[in-house]
Order: sequence, then structure tokens, then C-alpha cells
Amino acid sequence: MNKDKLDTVMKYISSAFESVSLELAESEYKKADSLSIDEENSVAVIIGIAGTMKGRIILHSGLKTAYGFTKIMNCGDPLDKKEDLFLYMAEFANMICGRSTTYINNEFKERKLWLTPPAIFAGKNLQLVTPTVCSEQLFFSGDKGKFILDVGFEEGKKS
Amino acid sequence: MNKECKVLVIDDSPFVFKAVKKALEPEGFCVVDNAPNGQVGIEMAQQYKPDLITLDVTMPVLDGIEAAKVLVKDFPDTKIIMLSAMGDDLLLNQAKELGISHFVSKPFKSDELAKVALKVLEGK
Repeated sequence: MNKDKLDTVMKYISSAFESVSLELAESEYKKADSLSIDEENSVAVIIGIAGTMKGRIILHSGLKTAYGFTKIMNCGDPLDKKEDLFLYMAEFANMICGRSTTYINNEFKERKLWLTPPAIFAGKNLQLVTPTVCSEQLFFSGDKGKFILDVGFEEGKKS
Repeated sequence: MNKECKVLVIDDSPFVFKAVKKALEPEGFCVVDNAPNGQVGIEMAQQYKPDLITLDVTMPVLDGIEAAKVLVKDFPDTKIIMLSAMGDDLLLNQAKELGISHFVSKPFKSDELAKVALKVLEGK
């Protein structure tokens, strides 16, 4: 993918994160140049991208941040079950990716992206690597904690 | 509404099920169940005979577009609202071709979904 196209794609993904987090949790998030998830326990949601551009988007946050954010999604109530945390985070990621897809497909007037259902991982000192993709990270910081979006597309594929 | 209107939610997220209940039950709708994918959704539609279905697009096993092809054919009296985070023009046109012209983008506000649901049932 050429740099201009990648910049456009990243701009839309960033914009989707900011608007979805605002609508969903009334949280204003700003892009940061760099940050790290400093909580020991973290959660990651991976959404696969199909279509003419293939890759994946990973939403990564600390577990405490995820608890706080999903509680707001749940109208301020604690989640019914502990496992709901992962399903709520998966839906948050799905909304970000879905909106990104909408922006990008409308911009390029074709089905560049199509999403696959999310996969969820949680653990201590989680590090996720997808060797076949070339990825860029977007960092977001706000009053509900920190999030990283790792956006990767397969190298050498026609887009 | 003259009679209690049954709503089936086809969506793999329990968050969305809860949000749909919160939006529609105060308006007199009865949100009967949540199917986690299109295949189960078709089976539940046979079981509940809902008046209205909210249908997600990205789901495991059978996605919303494939499920819609069956639902529109087998349940012609059931109204469908596409409820999805994905909403590009190609997808909306695909849904329209299947006869689904109502779309609500996630995340949605409760009053927004209720308004669309009432409009759909009035046949507007």
C-alpha cells in the first residue's frame, strides 16, 4: 500500500476511535505520539480484515482500564458476569473497526475492508506479534485510561 | 402500539442485547431473546415468530447478510432493522436489495432505535 493511502486509512481509523469512544462512554480521547500499557494484566481484541486489503486491527488496553470502560458501557452498572468484560471489549473493538470500515469503503468507493468476528486474548505482560503483517500503532489517552490500536496489513498485497 | 410487539435480537454481543432491551421495552416492545449468530437467529425466528428483528452484520457461523436472505424469504411479515457498526454504501445497497431499508449505526442512542422501530412497524 502506498504511503498516502495508508495515511488516509490510519486517519479514518483514528477518527473512528475518537467518535465511538465519545458516543459510547462520553469519553474524550486524544491521540498521543506514544504510550505504553503499564498495567501488568491486559486485554487484547483482534479483528481480522478481509476484502481487497487484508490484515488485522488489535485493540489493546490494561485490564483495569477495560473494567472501567465497560462499566460505563453498561450504564454504570457492574457487569453481570466476569466474562462479559471480554465480550463488551470485543463489541467496542467491533464498533471502532466497523466505523473505520464505513469511512474507508465510502472514501475508496469499493469494499476495501470487511470484518471478521473478534477474537479476544487476556493475560499478564501480553505481547502480540503478527509476523506476516506490516503494522503501525495509534495511541489514545483519555480520562478512562489508555488504549493502543495496532493496525496491520499484509505486505505485498494488492490494495 | 395496539399489541405487544415481539422483538428478536440477532447479535453476537450481550451488550447489544441489553442496549436493545433498554431502548425498546419502555416503549412497550417485548424483547424475547438474543441469537448469537445468523443460524441460531433463523431457528429462533421460527420459534418466536417475532414482529421485528434487529440484525447485526458481522457474526460468526452465518453473517447478517446471509441470514437476511433467509429471513426475508421465510418470514415476509417480520420487519428487520439492520443494526451494525459497519454501514458503508455498498452494504446499505446490498441490504436494500434484500428489502431491508432501515439501518441503525452502532453505537446507538436508545431514543434513536425506538423511533426507528416504531416507524418500521407503522410501515413507514
